[in-house]
Amino acid sequence: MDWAVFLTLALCVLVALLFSGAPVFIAFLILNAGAVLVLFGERGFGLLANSIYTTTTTSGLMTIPLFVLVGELLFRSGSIERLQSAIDALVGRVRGRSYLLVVALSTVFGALSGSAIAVTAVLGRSVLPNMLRQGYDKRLSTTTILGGASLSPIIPPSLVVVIVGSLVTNISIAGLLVAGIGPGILIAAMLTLYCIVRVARDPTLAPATDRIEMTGPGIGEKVRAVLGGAPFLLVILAITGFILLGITTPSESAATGVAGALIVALIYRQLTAKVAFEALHSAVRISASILIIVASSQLFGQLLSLTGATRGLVTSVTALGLDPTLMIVLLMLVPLILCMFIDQLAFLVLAIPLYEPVLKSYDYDPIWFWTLFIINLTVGSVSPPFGYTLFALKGASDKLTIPDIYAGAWPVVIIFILAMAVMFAVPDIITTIPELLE
Amino acid sequence: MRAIDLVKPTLDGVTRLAALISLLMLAAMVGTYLFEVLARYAFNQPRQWPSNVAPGLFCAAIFLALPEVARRGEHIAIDLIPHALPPRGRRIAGRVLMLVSAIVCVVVGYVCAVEVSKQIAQGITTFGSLPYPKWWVSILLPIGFGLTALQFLASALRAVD
Repeated sequence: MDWAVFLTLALCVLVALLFSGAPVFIAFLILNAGAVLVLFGERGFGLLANSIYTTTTTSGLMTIPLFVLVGELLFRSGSIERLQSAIDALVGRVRGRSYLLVVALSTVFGALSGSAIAVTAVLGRSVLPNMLRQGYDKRLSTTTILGGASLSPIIPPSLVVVIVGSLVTNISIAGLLVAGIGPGILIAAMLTLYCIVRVARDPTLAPATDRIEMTGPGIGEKVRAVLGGAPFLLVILAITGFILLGITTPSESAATGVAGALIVALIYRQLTAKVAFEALHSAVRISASILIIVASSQLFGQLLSLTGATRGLVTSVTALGLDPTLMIVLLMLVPLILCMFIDQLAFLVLAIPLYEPVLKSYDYDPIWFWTLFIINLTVGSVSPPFGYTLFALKGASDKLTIPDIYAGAWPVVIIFILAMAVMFAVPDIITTIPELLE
Repeated sequence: MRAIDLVKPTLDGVTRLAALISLLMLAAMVGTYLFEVLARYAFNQPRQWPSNVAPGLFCAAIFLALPEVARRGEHIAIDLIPHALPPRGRRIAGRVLMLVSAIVCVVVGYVCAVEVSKQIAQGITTFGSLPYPKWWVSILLPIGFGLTALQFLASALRAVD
């Protein structure tokens, strides 16, 4: 079957199935089983089974249930509230401070896990319920969580960066890793600025308690607040410290994070068998609902490759012989669109060998280009209507509707694209820190 | 009494048991990774088995929780159009979707079971330093999909009545 016909049919079927209200993983299973049957007959069904098996035994994905568990334990132990209280005391008179807190928290979590889905799930379960209970705006809260979580594949340590660095020839993995620091800070700052401007223009986006004029807390109160939230640092250190020191893999770090969360709950004297049971029960359900979608959709990326659809799309774009600026736009447009539908890793593995020759012919700085590419992949996974991260947030919070999530996601997409435009115009944001390593 | 009402308590019991095993698998994953870190750094005696065992625990945690997610109606779906339907239309659409979901899970569960039988017949083992029969883990796929199919079917039948 011609790749264009296959791609068009597949996308039409998928859209129809998804909008029918069927569970997302069922929609992908119908599409993939149907496509395999048409393309290879019954003997191709093994591809489907093997794809699901391979995904659900992939070590990189094991971080997800562990990070979800960290969030569950922290939420149920009350440590998130303690941390929020500490920040509240420190930034007592800043209107809409929880938006700023969630950007900071999600940036930290993102820097720990490297998985936007995992961070989204953690924040959706832990911080979001508090924000909604306090009266923060649903959609702006969604924006901060999706935006902050989307920093995770960018800020080091990042699994995606390591994979790209491993597959691309003649590129420094260390350089590519640290290249994410500048963009991460820039996007976090833009997200913060966006929240401040939105709240300044519409004060109803922040709860009434935010609008009460308060006298600032004294030094003693601030110290007490910091000490009260200090045990939370144990979790951050258990995860970040070990990753940055190169002591543990991300999954091991996530497990030490779970241990840290348990210790925090013990310190707060809130660790009971009930809390542990409920946290575990919730973590496996959330993780299963997320991971079954990833597992069911993985074959779609492989089928795009097998039918030549991915290659056809990319080569059609690159064969145009356009000037470098326009070519960059097109090279970024392809992953932006495809990553709304297929898994980032599946796209990465297919795209890297196809993109590399183009890059050499256009003489782009490889670290600059691949950093932009990784940011772009992240935008795809947070773009409505099919970005994985959106479904992760929906799975983590029953308080949000799909329209809320879509509405909250669009500002994130726009902010990230604006940030990419800035990084295109000022490449030093990406390349300065890697150059320090040379 | 309807047939579904007779069967549902047993089905729910099995589903809850599977979820209980799932969370134990997740707890075991945590323990496995912590043991690996401790063995490597605290006792300077790195072990090979944790990295071989973790994928199996992970797979079990996912597939044994899947039926409970279906039982609670927690699977992620884009419900824009169904929510726009009138109540009667929404109920009918819900039944059809549950029924279709059950059929899909049966088909995929069967496909996975065929692969498992091939793995058993051919003696296929996992890769890694401590290989073991692949079906020890892959058997979880047909079990998970099968039980999930029954939960979807039960939801569809209950909705009919």
